[in-house]
Amino acid sequence: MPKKIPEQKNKDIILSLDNVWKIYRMGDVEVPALKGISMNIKKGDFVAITGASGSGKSTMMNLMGCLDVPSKGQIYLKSKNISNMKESDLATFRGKTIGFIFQQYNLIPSISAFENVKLPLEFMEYDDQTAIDRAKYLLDLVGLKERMHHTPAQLSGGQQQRVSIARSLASDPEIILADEPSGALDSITGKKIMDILYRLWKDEGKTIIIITHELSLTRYAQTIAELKDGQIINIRQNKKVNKK
Amino acid sequence: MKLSKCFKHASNMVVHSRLRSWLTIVGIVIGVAAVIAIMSLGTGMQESISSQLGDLGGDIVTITPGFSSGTKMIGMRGGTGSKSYTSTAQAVEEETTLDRTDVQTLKTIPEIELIDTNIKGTVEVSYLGKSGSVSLTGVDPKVWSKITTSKIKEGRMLDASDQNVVIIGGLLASTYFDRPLGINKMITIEENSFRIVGILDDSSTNIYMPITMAYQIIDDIDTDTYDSIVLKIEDEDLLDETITKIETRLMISRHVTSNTKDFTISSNKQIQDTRDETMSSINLFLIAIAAVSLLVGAIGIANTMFTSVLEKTKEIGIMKAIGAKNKDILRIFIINAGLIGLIGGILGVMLGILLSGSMSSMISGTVFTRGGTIVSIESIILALTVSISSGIVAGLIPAYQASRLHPVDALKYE
Repeated sequence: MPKKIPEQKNKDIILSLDNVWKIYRMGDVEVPALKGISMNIKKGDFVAITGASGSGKSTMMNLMGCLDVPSKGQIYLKSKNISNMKESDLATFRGKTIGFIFQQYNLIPSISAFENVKLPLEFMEYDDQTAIDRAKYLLDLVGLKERMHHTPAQLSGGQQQRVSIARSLASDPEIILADEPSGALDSITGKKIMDILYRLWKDEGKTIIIITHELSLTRYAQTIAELKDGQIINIRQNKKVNKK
Repeated sequence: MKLSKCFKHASNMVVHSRLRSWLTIVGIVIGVAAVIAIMSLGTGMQESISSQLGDLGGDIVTITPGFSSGTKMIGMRGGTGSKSYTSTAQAVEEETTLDRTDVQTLKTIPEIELIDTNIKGTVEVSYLGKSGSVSLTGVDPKVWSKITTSKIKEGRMLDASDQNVVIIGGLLASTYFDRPLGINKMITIEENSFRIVGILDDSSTNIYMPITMAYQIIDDIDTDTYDSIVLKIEDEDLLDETITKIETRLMISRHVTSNTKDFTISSNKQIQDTRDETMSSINLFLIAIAAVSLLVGAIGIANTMFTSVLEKTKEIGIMKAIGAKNKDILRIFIINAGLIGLIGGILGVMLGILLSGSMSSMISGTVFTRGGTIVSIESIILALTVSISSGIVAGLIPAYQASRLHPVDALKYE
């Protein structure tokens, strides 16, 4: 198991989990979803976290994405211990550092693709023109410039996921955290989405973390961590994937 | 997030939850419309009563014969031209009057500036073959013009040398007879001819003439007895003290005690205060009724906001995941609730104005609506303020709950 990287000592580590436990209470019974996970993710890495249903993948994603706090242990994001941060500071830090892609896209249904992409920038109080330009640029990047004023209901699943990718890139975060990004898509569309993520990793230097139960998707990843019953049972490097 | 953006997202929420938001807005519309319509009725009533009573003048005190205490009322002249007594079943006493002795007593009180003696009766008046019964008041022509709060519209007031002349009310002059009456026209009162020298700026059918002439016209009243004595006091601030002094002096001169008192002193200020208090009570009562419907509307907003938060739980989770802070969510939901209140308020004001218009025509002619219904700016501001603030207050708890949602729990919500 990798040991915690002490703060400021290893600038290459962007996300570090140190003996992280997540325990849910079901009445009087305590159910541990994660049991002492320790893992360091390097900046610019492409990490796939795999495992069967109930292995703790989603819990791990929530913790890595600072959406939840661990029951025990510490999580360091860019050397900052997020367990000690105030909710409002954490929201800003999360918004700036991590872009989320969800299996069910999670777009706001009542607003257009363009407005969805612009939304994170509004929360971060970007000036209007910058937000407009950036949203247009990102929708162009994912090939949806022509459909930017459509609402999510007027877009196909693949197009919605591309909007979701554009939204995740809005604040130019260092980490893209994707939960089953192709899980709700057919294999061809799923591949297109994975290709976009791959390009973001390779060309833009983003740190990509995908959570998936599909072993076929691990071929994109440089680092593959396998979860079982709330524990990492294997971490390996994929020699076939090379950034250069 | 900037406030303008919160406003944009809150408006978007109203637009995209059409049916629920609009049903809630209907609740507020009804509440606000009720407040506006009822307040307009209240203001109309107030105006109506004020215009009928006129500006009473706070320094005027009226003394009338008779005194009502509990079940006992000492008799006084009815003022109908025939001798009559007002009494209870338990006690019928001899008629009491006011006379020259009382006036002499009052003249010894330095706080009194002017004294006007009045007699009243109902008389038959005719003009160009048409006749009717109207109220006639005999006044002291030397004093009346200085003491009355009535205003002259045409002609002049009475003066000391006047004999067979009258001053008439505005309504009597304009529409009472087939043709309007004007200055210097002659009218017949109880078979005596009188010249009109002044027309009052009011909507009454009263006739005023010098008291010496009135004694000859009104039946059953002895010369030098009066139906009322009207006083103007020097200092309005000393009203209560002056009334006490008048009461004491009159009780001594009339040989009565507080138990056998046979006269009543009333001040216009007291009447005015009582009138204002009564109107305020009626208004408050009406507003309380209307406020209930506004309260129901506010509860509707709270209900809608709770449902909205529940429905938007996942969206709140998404927003938090992409950088929304608690205060952003709080603002969006509070503005949303305030907007529902504002839209409801504006539509409610419009409906209220329409309602008050139709209400005045529906129940016109009743005592309450002679002044019509008047929608005041104050009532509009009040209704809008209450509707917006009730929206915000009703939305506070749901908005707070929304802002405190844990992102991971909110995202899981289906």
